[in-house]
Amino acid sequence: MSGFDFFLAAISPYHISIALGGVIAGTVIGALPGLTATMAIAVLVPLTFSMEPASALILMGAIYTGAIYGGAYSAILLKTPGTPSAIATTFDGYPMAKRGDGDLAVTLACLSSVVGGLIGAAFLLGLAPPLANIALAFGPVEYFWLAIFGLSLISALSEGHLLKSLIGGTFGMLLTTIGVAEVSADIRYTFGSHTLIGGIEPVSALIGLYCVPVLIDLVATPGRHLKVTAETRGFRLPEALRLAWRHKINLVRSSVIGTLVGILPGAGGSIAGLVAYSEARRSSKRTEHFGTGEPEGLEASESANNATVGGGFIPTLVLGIPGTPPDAVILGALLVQGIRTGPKLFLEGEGSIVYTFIYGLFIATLLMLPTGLLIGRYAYRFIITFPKALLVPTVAFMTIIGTYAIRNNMSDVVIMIALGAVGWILDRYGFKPSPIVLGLILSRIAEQGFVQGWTIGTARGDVLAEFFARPISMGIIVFIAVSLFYPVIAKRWRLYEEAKNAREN
Amino acid sequence: MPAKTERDTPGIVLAAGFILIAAVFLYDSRNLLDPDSYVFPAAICVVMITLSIVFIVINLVKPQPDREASQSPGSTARRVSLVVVMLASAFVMPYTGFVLAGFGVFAALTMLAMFEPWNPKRAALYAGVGVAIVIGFYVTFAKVFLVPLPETPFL
Amino acid sequence: MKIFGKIALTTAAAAVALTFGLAGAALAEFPEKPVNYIIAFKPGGESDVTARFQQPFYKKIFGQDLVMSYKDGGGGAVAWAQLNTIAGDGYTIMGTNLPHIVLQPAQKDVGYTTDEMTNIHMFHYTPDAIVVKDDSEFKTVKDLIDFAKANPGKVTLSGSAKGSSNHLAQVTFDRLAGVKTTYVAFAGTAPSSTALLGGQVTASWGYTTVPPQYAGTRMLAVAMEKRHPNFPDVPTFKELGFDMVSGAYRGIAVPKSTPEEIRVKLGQMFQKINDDPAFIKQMEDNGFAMVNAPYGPELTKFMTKMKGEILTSAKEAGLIK
Repeated sequence: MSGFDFFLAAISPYHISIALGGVIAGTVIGALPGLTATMAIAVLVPLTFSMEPASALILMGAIYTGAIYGGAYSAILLKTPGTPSAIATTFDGYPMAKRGDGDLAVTLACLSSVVGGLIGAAFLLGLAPPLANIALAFGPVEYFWLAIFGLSLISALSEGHLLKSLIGGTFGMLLTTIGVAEVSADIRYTFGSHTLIGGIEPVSALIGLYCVPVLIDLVATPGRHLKVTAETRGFRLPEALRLAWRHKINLVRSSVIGTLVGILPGAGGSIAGLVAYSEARRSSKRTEHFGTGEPEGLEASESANNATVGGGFIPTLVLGIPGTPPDAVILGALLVQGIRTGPKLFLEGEGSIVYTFIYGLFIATLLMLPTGLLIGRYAYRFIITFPKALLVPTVAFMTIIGTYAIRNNMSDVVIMIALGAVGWILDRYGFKPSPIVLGLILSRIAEQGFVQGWTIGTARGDVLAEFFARPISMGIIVFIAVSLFYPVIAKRWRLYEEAKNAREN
Repeated sequence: MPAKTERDTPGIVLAAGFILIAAVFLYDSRNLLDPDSYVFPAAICVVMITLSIVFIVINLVKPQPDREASQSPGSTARRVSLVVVMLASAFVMPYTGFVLAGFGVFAALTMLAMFEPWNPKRAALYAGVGVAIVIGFYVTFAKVFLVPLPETPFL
Repeated sequence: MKIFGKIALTTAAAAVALTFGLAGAALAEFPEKPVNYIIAFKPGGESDVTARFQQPFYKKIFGQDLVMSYKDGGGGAVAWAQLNTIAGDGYTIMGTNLPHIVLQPAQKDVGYTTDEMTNIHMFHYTPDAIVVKDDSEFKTVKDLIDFAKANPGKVTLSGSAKGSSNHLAQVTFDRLAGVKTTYVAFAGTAPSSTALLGGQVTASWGYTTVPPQYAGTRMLAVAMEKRHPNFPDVPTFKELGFDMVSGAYRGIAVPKSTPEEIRVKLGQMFQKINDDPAFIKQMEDNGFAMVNAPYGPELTKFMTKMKGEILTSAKEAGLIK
């Protein structure tokens, strides 16, 4: 079979219809905080036993890609990332919605996700075997620095008080240490409580810290949740297209970052979005507008997280190492079907499954454009027109059932609500939720990398060299330094230029 | 810019709270035998305490109000009630089952978030929507995604 | 009259339902409806994937669904601590793992004890093995020992988290071979094998399931009684003079309120899956090794033996007092 035949197999009416169904289901799943692509795919696994492997893969891939995009809705409209991948989407998406640009934000998120998804899938199609080596090049130390890079965003995001943001970040990091340490398997900081042995589940913490404060403020006053402008403007598609075209470099860069981070099995979508956001912010002319509703920030996060779908499949299919949590479930389903992953899968003749699947992924991503715009429009209209007295219970209810469903555990719900109440108080006095969330998400990766790097470094007899002298580590450290100090330098430079101009005039 | 600089007292109190939390964690670390388990968290505690002390000292020496701290107009009673109702639902759900507790939470929160006068038509409409939403969530989660929600024999 | 008729009808209907219900419980073939199979870990984890292998066979043999749900947390402890609070009608079963369910309660108070757990089958294990990259300079266990003796502490071995069967195997092996190696714990077999493939560590304490899944790896020896049928060329540690048979064992348990006959029945059912030649072939091709310990004296004997072995090696490893 040649490449074109695989393409034909992918565009069979059967495959197009399962891709369409998968994308729609995925978008809805992603939009509900707590329901994740991982869970949805896990439910589907028995169904796929009776399907052709390629068809099963297309269905699971379509759900996955739809769910990552769907996460943008709750991030934009409720300030609650439906999946951790959409954390960076809340930074600018929610302020946009708050000021009445929710429709534009949703449309822009859809365009960015499609671009990101297509670029990620293109890398998967063309360069999977060589790119898989990136997954192997990253050792514990590199993950440690990558997590620190993500944490460095705290300083960039500190809208108000830098010290308060940093304290918030450490608080988030400390929260993750509760429960069983993933590497040393020790139970720690549970203070005798059996409930705390399970630790604080990151997604439920995310829901608590972001969504519960929104609800708390929503019930307090009669005002509307989001500002609504007088005229309804439909999709605002031409406007979104113009913006996306103007920021095309940002979109491509973010998608490439998303793909590369997606290849790293220890990283995941949240880091991809954060790194892309950080880079977009640094290289933008409007750096100071980031965090206040800047479309570029939204585009960076959304294109990057959808690019991780294609990126994550690279180590999954080439090396048998799941790139992301949903990939782990998909890999399991493939094993049961008797499919051995490996570089052979990509060779001519043996690769029918993989190539049919990749074309299917392209089709699913393209289908996301019409379905995403349509669902997005209804989601937005629903949020702005639904009366507050019904919106509050619906959202509250969603947070409860969503949090429960993550680990089928009612204690997580209690922790989620308690964290929400604490988060509201902290926010009220200037300790913003985003640094806490960054600490929560990244601390685990940082700790594992740190402990493993330390152990290996000690065995090799040079811990410092282990942490600072490896080429990739050095590269990441440079990026950390640049992103930390660039804004300061840029500001000094601008002031200097202005002063010079003033003197010359 | 406010002419008079005020001290960020709530910020200082919260920073002191963070110091306390970090101290408790640090103290609890002595129960751990494996350095892999405590080195990283202990380091975070030290950083957290240092940052908080710096914050408090700076504020005591040179007061700087946090202008970013958000204002919170509106009813505190409603805020507290929301949290209480949500928490209560989590505790009640294992005994009453999901659907029954769901009706209760939905009704309570609808009343909490209501700022317009009630009339029979509106009450009937909202009750209908509430029932539909609770049942909808139940079916989606329990039947489609096979989430084992708390159930009782009659619901 | 109408009302009376209604009451009569309802009573009759209830009586019929009750009779059928009771008769059903006593006579009808268990299972009559889908069984909920709780995995104490994340979807996509090793325990999930192995349960997935059983799923289609269960459906094929018993005509009912096996429905997975996940109760992740505390390395499995959260789910296991809740096992006995679940209704014991046989329609909820939970995956259990060794050495976890022995080691966790021995280390700290985790809300359950090993003896409170009603295991009804232990069906397979993934034997411990030393895994290296295909192009590694180490061809035999002896090569590795010689190198480790010349460079004490410098040999790094990746493996699953501390307290795992990999970790116990590393400690036991170091003691038996008289070497000192460094164990680098990872959050599971996938990241541990990734570190091996990436050359971050010298070798890996993995399982016999690693080479089938990760191309480019091979094993130096396996901790089994006899050689694994899928890898006839790989020696056992026993052959090489190291008395160690160990691995990560998996089984299922039920709440302790589950009636005896249902326990027996479930044990037989999972044994039936284990006896299916197609199932055995699939498991062995993927590197698993079968264990056949259904509910009854066999399981009791097996668990007593395992508990003793695990506690002994954990004591030697300094994991428990």
